[in-house]
Amino acid sequence: MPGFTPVFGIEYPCAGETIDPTVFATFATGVETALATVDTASAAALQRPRGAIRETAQSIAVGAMTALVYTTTDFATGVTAAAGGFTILTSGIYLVSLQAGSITPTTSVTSYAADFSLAGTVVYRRKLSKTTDLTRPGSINVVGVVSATAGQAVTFRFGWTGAGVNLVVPSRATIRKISEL
Amino acid sequence: MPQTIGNHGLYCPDFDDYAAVALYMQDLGTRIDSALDAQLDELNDFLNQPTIILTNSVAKTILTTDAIAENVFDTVVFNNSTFMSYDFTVNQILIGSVLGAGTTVPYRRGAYSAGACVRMTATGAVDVGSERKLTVLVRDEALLVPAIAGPMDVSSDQNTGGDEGVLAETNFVLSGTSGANIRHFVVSTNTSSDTTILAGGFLWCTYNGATDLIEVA
Repeated sequence: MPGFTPVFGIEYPCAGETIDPTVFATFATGVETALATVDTASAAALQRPRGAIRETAQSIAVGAMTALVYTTTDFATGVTAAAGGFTILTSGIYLVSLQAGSITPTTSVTSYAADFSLAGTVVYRRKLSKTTDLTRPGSINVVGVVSATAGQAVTFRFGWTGAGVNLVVPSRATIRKISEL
Repeated sequence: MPQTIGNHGLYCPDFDDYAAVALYMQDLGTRIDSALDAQLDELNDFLNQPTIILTNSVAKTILTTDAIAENVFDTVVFNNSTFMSYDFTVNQILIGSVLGAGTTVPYRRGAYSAGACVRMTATGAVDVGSERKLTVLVRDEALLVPAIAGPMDVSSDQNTGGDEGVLAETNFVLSGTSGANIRHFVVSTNTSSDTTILAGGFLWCTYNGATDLIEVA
């Protein structure tokens, strides 16, 4: 009666059994199956869902939060990258980051904010209101983890209050899966 | 004399040692099983980074008479770790054990990231320039200087519609013998009205990996 290894169940002969080529074939098949299991995990590790998108100059008017639109995809693996952000393809825990801001001057900036949403709901937001008027806001970072399911969209926004001409806003957003659900 | 093969503890028997073939195959299979299991464990660790996420399911109020909230989060959204938890009695993420705890929870030494984000709006009049502040504090009580990291974010409310989002995030290394804890402090210095912390904030911590390199011969 054969025995089996504890984790992968590789079949081996026990003392007293007849050793013939089929025993070796069964053994090798068991090893092959175990290797395939590790290969699957290894491939998943090498292909972790991740992406990065950016925009160099989006014109944003004073007032309401404005959806950020991306024209360049730096890379996207296991997530869909599009102008409006990312779409989750496999459920999991994701680390998301956004950097947005402006160095072009306008009349005054009393506050500026950036956020990102999961399936249309704002999940992480940062707003900087200043004690003194600025003419340009500089960059703002937003980073956080979300529990996302396949098909959900991750979208990004920037907004500012004050007065003057539109700000020219460069931005970059990234996403990477850190765990299964 | 068995011949060693490679560096995973595998070997082949003497060519004429036929009686030992069954025993050899059992031992070989067990060694392969063990070596692959170790690799799979490491891969699964990478694929399932230990992470804990909390949220506040309901809004909280910071009173003008009590400017600090340390108990914002009420729900564990996700926790796939065996060594991180949230203690609602002291409002802290615990990594490992509290100093002096009767039962020790082993935790992963290495690099972590943690952060929090809340959004605040005054319920009434705004003191222009009043602060909305968030601090995340990582401590190991066993250290001579317990504070390991303490990022802070602050917005000075200029009465521009509220929804002042503050976000603090940090990376740190844990290598002590005791556990660590992560606290949060949310402050509003508005004195003309209370301040609402909107529902849907987040507090999180994730283990990024060991900081020591394991050399494979």
